[in-house]
Amino acid sequence: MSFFKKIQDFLTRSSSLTRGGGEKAVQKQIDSGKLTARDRIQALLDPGSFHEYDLFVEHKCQDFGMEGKKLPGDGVITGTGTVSGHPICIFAQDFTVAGGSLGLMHARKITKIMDHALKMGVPLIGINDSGGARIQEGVNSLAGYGEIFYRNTLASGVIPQISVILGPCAGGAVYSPALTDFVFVVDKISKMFITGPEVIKTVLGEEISMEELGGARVQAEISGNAHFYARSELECFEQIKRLVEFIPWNNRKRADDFDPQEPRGDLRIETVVPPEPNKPFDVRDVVRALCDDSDFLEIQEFFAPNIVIGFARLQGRTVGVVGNQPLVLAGVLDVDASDKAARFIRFCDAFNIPLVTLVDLPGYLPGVDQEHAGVIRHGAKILYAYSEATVPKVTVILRKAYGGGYIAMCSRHLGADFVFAWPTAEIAVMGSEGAANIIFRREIAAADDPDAMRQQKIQEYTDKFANPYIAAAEGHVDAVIKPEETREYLVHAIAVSGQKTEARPQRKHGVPPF
Amino acid sequence: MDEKDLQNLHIDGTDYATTLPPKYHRRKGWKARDDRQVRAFIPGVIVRVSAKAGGKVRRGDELLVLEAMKMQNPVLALRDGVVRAVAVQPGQIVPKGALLVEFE
Repeated sequence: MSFFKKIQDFLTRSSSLTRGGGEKAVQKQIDSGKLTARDRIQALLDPGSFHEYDLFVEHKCQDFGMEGKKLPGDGVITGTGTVSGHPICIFAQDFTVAGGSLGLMHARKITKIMDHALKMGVPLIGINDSGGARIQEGVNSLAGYGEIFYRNTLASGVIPQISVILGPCAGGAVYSPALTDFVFVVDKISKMFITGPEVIKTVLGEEISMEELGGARVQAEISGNAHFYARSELECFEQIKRLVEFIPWNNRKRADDFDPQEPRGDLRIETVVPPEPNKPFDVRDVVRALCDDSDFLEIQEFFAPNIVIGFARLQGRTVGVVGNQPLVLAGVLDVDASDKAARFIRFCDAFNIPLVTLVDLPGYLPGVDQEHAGVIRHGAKILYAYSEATVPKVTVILRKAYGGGYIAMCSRHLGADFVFAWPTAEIAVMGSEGAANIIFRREIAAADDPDAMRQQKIQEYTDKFANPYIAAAEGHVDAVIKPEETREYLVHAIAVSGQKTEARPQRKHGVPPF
Repeated sequence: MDEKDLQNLHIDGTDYATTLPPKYHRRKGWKARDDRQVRAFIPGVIVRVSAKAGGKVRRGDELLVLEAMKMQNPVLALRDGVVRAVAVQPGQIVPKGALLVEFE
């Protein structure tokens, strides 16, 4: 065969493979409102940057009529490319090929690109769109899942792992995304569950739609499995690009520094926060008033909105922000808020991202449901994550910091490097009303006018304890600062912590209260 | 933030003006368990009913069999007593927490 003919032969082979599951299947994919796997990669990656591998991989299944079946790429596309100039490894399941079902070779393509990402120290992006295990391959498809989970775990804390759910992701398949750092979902397209509506109906007699059971909104708001929610695939890809710009390639690097920018001038921090501790404000306005270009990438916006987490930049450098949100549930800590914050803190610590904590909370959410849901062990995760973290930790107490909530929110006692407090800060065991009612119970009960006595005692307690100066007198607070000085103090604190090292006892790993 | 959306959350003697998310509203209230009522511990299908209204049972006697997750689960009496009413019949699908049998 001549060189020319060999090239012709190659082009015929590869072009048939790159057409995926064929015209009909591709049309069906488009009709269901989805992009094809190949188009998704092109839309997400920098133009011309995608390089594909393992296009010619074939399955070896000989059973149940599979022996004659050709599955292009075995239903998954893998390769390398760049996102906003950052190198990444990517795989995208191709639903047009046997429903994106996962067989052994399909899984091996994924584990191969995962191994590559880990060796090269670059983020891994996985686009999930699959009907599940390829049943004809039996236990081999289960082996495939297991090999993926194992690598997700090995890569955890070494390279950022991003999962994009653009179709069904059901049964065992959900556990790969669940092991990764950030899960993206898209309205009406993403569906995640362990057991689907059909099984639930036959086994349990409960009727529920796929959307209500495990649609995008459910994952973003109720279960907390998803971190980013988008209305379209293209919006989702924009979110991924923003995220990739905020995080480093791997745990040996720092996130890229950007040109420093001042916050936009429309939010004046001193007017955002009301001085009364029981009046709400949106803590995200404080973040935007503090950070470069007022650009805040919020994570898990709809899940446990009583705590706010996300990335921002201070003088060009990425920081992870954790802030109590007085606007929702008065900013209390509860089961979900603790889970949400703790995982984020651990991500930041693993990837050299300094932590900025903004404190304003009355404590933990009271309730039987919380106690029975395990607020003790879940709440302990925040204490663990903050104590364990060795990245620079800077805390600003805006207003109230009461009781266990004060300790949990990266207090000095959990190893904060810098603790600043505004003059409006109240660092105490509890709010003045509650404290006065307990401490002065007898005086109040014995008084001729108990209400007047109560008000007097509340005032006494407020005057004495509802301020930052007692904690500052003990050195638990390093500096009391004016709100408008906050950005300058934060920038300085992070700048002087650039070479921070903190030794920890040697161990295989800790045992966090998972 | 719209003032009219704000509600009070009472914590340690103080009312905090804030918003309450849907998940907070959906939480279930707690009720003390009434041990005269036998309820389904898992959703499933009633396969067989042994208990009869007015019948005497001893602790450990089978009241009924509840099939769930392909397992036939015998539901046993946790106490001696007289059955006041049987709330289900064979073939019936019951949700979790459904009343099955009531004692006097």
